[in-house]
Amino acid sequence: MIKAILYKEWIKTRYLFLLLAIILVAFTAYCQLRIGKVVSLRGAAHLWEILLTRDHTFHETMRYVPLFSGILLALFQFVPEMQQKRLKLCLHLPLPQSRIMGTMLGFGVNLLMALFVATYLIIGLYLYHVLAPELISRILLTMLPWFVAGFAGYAFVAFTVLEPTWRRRLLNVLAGVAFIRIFYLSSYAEAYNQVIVWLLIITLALVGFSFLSVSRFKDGVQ
Amino acid sequence: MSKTYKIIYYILLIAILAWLLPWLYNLATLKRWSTPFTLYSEIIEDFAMINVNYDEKASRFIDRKGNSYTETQFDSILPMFYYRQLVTDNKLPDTIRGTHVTSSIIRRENFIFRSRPSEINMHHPGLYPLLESRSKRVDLVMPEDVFRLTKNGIEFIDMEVNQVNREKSALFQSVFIQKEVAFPVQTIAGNPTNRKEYDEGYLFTDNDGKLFHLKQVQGRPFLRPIPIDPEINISRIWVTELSNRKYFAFLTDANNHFYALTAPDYNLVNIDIPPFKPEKESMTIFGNMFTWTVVQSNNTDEIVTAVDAKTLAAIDSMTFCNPEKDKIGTASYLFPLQLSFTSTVDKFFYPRLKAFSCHALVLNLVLLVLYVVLCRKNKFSAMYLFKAVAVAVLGIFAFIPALLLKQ
Repeated sequence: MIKAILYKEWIKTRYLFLLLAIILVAFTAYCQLRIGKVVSLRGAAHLWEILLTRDHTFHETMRYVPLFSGILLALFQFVPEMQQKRLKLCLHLPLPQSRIMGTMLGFGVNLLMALFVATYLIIGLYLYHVLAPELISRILLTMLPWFVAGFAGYAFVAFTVLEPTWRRRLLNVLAGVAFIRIFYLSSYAEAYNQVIVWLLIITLALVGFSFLSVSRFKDGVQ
Repeated sequence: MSKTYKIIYYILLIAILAWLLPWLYNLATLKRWSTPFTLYSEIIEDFAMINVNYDEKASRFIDRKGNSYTETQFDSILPMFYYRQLVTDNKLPDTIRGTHVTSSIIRRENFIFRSRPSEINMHHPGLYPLLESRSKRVDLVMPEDVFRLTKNGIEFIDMEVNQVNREKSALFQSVFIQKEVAFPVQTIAGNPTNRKEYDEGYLFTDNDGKLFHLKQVQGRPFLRPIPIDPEINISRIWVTELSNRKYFAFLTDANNHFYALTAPDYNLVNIDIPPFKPEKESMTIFGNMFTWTVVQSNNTDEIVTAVDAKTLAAIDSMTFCNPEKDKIGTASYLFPLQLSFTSTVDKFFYPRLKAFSCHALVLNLVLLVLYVVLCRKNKFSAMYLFKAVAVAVLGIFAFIPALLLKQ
């Protein structure tokens, strides 16, 4: 049964997965082209100097791409469920409600995780040849809040889409916007180092907010 | 599970409101607190200041006693600061306090030193470019390598090939061993830029608290131990590289005393100013050949000290206090606490809570009564009790989400 749910989720999201992979690779390639251009025009020393003296990572273009990915994935996964009332059918499957929802949400989180980890690996492998480990970790740690924001976007859009009433949807959207805003409050390099692990744990825990919406949906809240 | 998430969602909404409501309130009611631009005048031997009146959009030129000056008179009582204007007006005196002055002498002796907490409280990657300090060219050139300080030594990395330069690393490491540097290095400071007149490299303290001066001279390491009083525990260093070449650096110790390291004799001289905490306070020094005006400021106070440029002893001082600092603002009555994530004194992101305000308890009780009245038809439950307690303690932050999640 779980396999069937996972297959259903894959059918819904496979083209989006491909699209998101292309978008992430395209943005990563663009950032790497910019780095390559600086190195070829001004030399690697100039690139190092900028990274050492400014809060610049050469990956600022990617700032909102993970968030956009998370939001799109949640929309593609859960809007069809709500529009065609498929969620009602889903919840009648001979499995506990939490297991069904857990599988669907877990699928989404893992899909995002796969995309983000692959993006991180591509960036890290490219930078490994150009920069010292101190500067690579500086870039990756500065970017990390943007990727955690991707999970937050997924969590809050899923929470909002699965919510049965418009009034509560509006509240969820406002709470989501405020929560996601914290990932973009500081643009200084490595500003989030002290709390980023906690933010990741909290964000992944918040994915479970959708259980609240489904519970209200099942209770017939109008 | 949904009950747990109901509580988590309620707590999340409280946290969001504890951050956003005080932020909105401060945004709407923020008052500008500014202090007059103040310098010590060698002519009137008192502080002279420009008091900007933002309502009238006009500036008043006054001294501490309240005497008013015209803008031209003000230039004349601060000749070391406004010397370019005085040269243009052909009013620069030949002699000030018995010393012959010219615009070139004044330019060489003048300096402005700044330290901001946000430049200190930040992450540094730990890679340092070491410039050639005695190149045969006039302009300084940025090096092709950077060094890192490891637990056991120093390592140079060639930036073009991104590899450790073993030969250069070994050369510098041997000098570090010869001079008995105890690794790991504790504090290091320098100005790794070519936009300066000359280079003095880096000053650092080793694991034993000893102070060293590191430079690169014609490709060779220059490492000099600086004898200082072992009682002084250096905590922060600023390499100055001033035009007059009289000082290598400014330093602070663990007791927040402020020192100047004189050049070329490496004497550590205490500067007679109030304790300076660079992690929390800003400092600006307007220096000239006669006096230094040292401005130390934080969110509530600004202390201006005039220091004799020769002896570094205090001549005079004055303090500006924020008139609002001891007042209990309306925010204290509205919000029991205030949550923020960023600050002007650092470049870190983390949750910061302002101390709990007991003044908000009155509003909290009113809101609690209102909550009980509005929810009187609700069945008594653990959740209802939890929300009531939250409203009593956290006031408006808990009241709004309690109503929004009433169903």
